Amino acid sequence: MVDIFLDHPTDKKFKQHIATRNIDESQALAEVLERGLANYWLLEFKRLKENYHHIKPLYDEFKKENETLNKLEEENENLKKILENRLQTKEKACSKAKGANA
Amino acid sequence: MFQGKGGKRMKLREGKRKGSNGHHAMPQKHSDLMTALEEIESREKTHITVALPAISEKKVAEFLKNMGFQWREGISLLISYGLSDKSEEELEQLKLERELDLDRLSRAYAPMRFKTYLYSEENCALTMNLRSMLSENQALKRALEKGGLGNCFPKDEWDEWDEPTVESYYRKYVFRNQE
Repeated sequence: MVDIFLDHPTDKKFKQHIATRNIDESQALAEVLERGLANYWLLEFKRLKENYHHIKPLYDEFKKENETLNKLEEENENLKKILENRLQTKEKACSKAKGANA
Repeated sequence: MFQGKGGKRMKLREGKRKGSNGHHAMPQKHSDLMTALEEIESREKTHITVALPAISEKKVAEFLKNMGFQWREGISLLISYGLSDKSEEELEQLKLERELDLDRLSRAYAPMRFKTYLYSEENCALTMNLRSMLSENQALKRALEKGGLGNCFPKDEWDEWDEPTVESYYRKYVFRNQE
């Protein structure tokens, strides 16, 4: 005896299978498991393909937005450096002018 | 060969069981996590006890063991695959696709999935800082404009970002809701 737990759609399909084939639950389970084993790799491939096509657009979107957010962060660093350089140049010019005046 | 017709069927509805005062009963203490998880998973599911021919049981048990599946999880998956609506023609088509595409897809899928997760985490951290990054960017650009360097920088896409745009980043990456 084996214990199985089926969600409602699968249970419904299983009952339909039993009714259509007019066989008992044991025989139906053996048949269904046999088909499940035979098609396991094909249906896993189908699931992989579906997951791939589901994730691909998300991946592209997240990647593009990651590049943009990083570019913004980088730009801030660059602008800060430019501004600091400008300030240092100005300070040097000021001290030179002060020195000349003294 | 088969032990009787049918087998035993019962609905598990532990998830809906309530205490006498109308509130949900306190959850039963579980000795280990696996038992607790199995119980949660089996809620609202139909439990069937069926006799399975020894040869089938052996074949299934061996397959599940090799694949590293728990019995309950693996057998449900095999049953759902066995009850798949795919016709023989569709399966044949899938077989051809698998031969052509399996290598490419399986090589691309796992790294892509992992990178998607990494981007999502990094974007979450960056988004939490987004408002301050944008105001810093505007302040820096204003300061450089005053210094006569305003024309040296091309327009950036974030120059046009308004509050709804920032909020959409928050919803997507911080609150994980893409609506």
